[in-house]
Amino acid sequence: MSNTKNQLVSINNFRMDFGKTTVIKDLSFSIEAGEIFGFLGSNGCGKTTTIRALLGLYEPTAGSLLINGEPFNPRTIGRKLGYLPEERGLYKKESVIDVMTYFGKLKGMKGSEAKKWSLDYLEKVELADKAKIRLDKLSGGQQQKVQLGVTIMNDPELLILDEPTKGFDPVNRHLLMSIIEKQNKKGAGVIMVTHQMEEVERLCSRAILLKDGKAEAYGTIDSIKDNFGGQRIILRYSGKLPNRPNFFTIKESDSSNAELIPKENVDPQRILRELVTCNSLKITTFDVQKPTLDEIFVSIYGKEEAIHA
Amino acid sequence: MHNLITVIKFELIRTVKKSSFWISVLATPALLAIVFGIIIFAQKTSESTQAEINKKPFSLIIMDETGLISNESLKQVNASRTDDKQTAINSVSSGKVDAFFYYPKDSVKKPIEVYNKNDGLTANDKYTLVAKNLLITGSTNAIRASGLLSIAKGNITVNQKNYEKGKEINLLGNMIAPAIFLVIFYSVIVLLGNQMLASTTEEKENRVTEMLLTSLSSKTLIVGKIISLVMLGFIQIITILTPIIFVYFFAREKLNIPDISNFTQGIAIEFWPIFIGAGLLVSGFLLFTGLLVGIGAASPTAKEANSFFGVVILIMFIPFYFFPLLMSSESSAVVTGLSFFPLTAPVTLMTRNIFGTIDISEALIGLGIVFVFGIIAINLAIKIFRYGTLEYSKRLSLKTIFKLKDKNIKSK
Repeated sequence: MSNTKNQLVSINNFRMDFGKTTVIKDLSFSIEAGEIFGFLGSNGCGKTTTIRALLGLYEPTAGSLLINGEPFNPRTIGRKLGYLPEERGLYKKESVIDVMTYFGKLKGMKGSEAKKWSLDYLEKVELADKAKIRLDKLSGGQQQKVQLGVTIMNDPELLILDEPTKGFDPVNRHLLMSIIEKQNKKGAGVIMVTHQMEEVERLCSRAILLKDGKAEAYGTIDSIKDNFGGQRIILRYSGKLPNRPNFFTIKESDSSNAELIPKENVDPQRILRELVTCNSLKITTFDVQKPTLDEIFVSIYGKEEAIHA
Repeated sequence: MHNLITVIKFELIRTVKKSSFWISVLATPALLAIVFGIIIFAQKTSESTQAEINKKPFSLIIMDETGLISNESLKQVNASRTDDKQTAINSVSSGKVDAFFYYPKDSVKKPIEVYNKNDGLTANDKYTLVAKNLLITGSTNAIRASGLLSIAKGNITVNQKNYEKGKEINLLGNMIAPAIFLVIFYSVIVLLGNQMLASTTEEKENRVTEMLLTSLSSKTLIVGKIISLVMLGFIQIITILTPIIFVYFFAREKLNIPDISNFTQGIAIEFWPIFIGAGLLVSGFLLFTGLLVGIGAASPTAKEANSFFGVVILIMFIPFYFFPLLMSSESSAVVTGLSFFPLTAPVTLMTRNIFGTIDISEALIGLGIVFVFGIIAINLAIKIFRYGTLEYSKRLSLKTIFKLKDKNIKSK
């Protein structure tokens, strides 16, 4: 667990029942200020429920969900929070500038300040000429840009992005990623609820994997990979590769390359020592690879879930 | 407070900017203008037709067996008398004379016979008109001679005094002030009902609720929407009343609109009827607003929500099916039921308040019921909005609504 002082989000013993169905069993994790945190899990495992409970939309059955040490309050914490929900949209029959100004004001900005911020943002994303156009007259991609603008108004200290790239075209996906990095550099903490493992590996320092309402894995990306196991050894060699079933199994091999899977509780260094003592084998490279998050995800949730994701 | 004002301004301005709002608002005064225009046009056409008839005299023979038509009247229409009915008819049919009127002795029971040359469907009416007028003028003169003309014309003055519980009461004057509350209540629900239903479905249809609710509470949003709706209602009422007031003060005489100044002077201002009327207006508004907003929040689309509007209006109209019972001071189980059932209570109690057929204690109990259910309805609407708008594409069933306490929904 992180140092309480720096905790931006703190979730302790969170339980959530809907009638007789328990969606979250006992969940505890924390997010530090300024970090990008991956919140991972299969469909229906309780990610959105957790976020909605954190944002006060649902009342938790048990436990505490705190932001900056306090339960969510739209009038205080809400003003410094940027939320991009999975189910997203804006007032489609209103003009771009009216909608952005409205949300800016709701986040505590003055009307003139919100309008100026919105115009500057629209200029940056090349939508300045669309400011007075109704949202439903914009293309899907342009609407997504406006949505992103609304999310980051008033420089949020915490960004919660639920399936942020869902439905986004490549241009807006790139824009979103640069916004996440920029806001993070300014000091904002970011929670990314996603299925996109490559993005998590690239951006997140820590993550949690949720399964059946419980944390299946939690920590830094490296520690998750280490704890999960599933390491493999990529070997380049000449000579004859010996078979050592007590140390490893050979997944694939040809005359000069092999992929070895260490046996449970066998350290790769122990395998290296074993192979070095073998006179008939000359090792060119010995590379220990950790599993990717994608592989961990597939392993935890099953191949079918990964396809859905 | 900042967010409440922001919501009110946003909701008000965006509605006022819509042309559909002004079309619906201006439809009523426009309809009134068209109706009055037709009346004025018809009146002027009628006057000019009459003038046309007067300008173009026709030759006329009459045979009067009643003895009521004077020679002076005949002179005014250039008519002459005859005793030979058949010859007169022949003169008309041969075209020598334009018209012949035969007045039988008992003209009350037997019809006047009018024979005339054909001037066309509309112009032929002038002969009937003149035939009738000659007899009316003759009869009027006969009554005048007996001094009973004024009574025959209905110019009778009556001084009536009504007593209740030993006190003289002005029945009509007492009814006006309470009736104003019922009229306002009906107007507000009819004019704003659809907007109340649709007020939350837009957030749901556009998937905007979650983003909104991280910046403000659902209560602030709903209350802001209701306040903006009330303000829109005022704008609508002012827009409708302005041309009516203008027409009354500047074109009253031309349009033959009755003078209501004597009428308004008789309005009785008494505490209890006004207190009960105002209380029922506010609590009834809360109740029906909660109901309509709740239906809107439970429905996935505005179209689906609007289909419930007719049902709500029907519920409001139910008490009028029992109008004679509501006017009666006698108590009945139906009236008591309608008075205390929350959805029919506002209109029932307001109507009984108008006719003075309700006790103060009964009115206060009814008012309390409507007020309590109004508060419950608003709170339920907020809760349904909070849950219903997160269930974007689903319609909430009654079972789900009544189990909302199990849904872990915050109602703040």
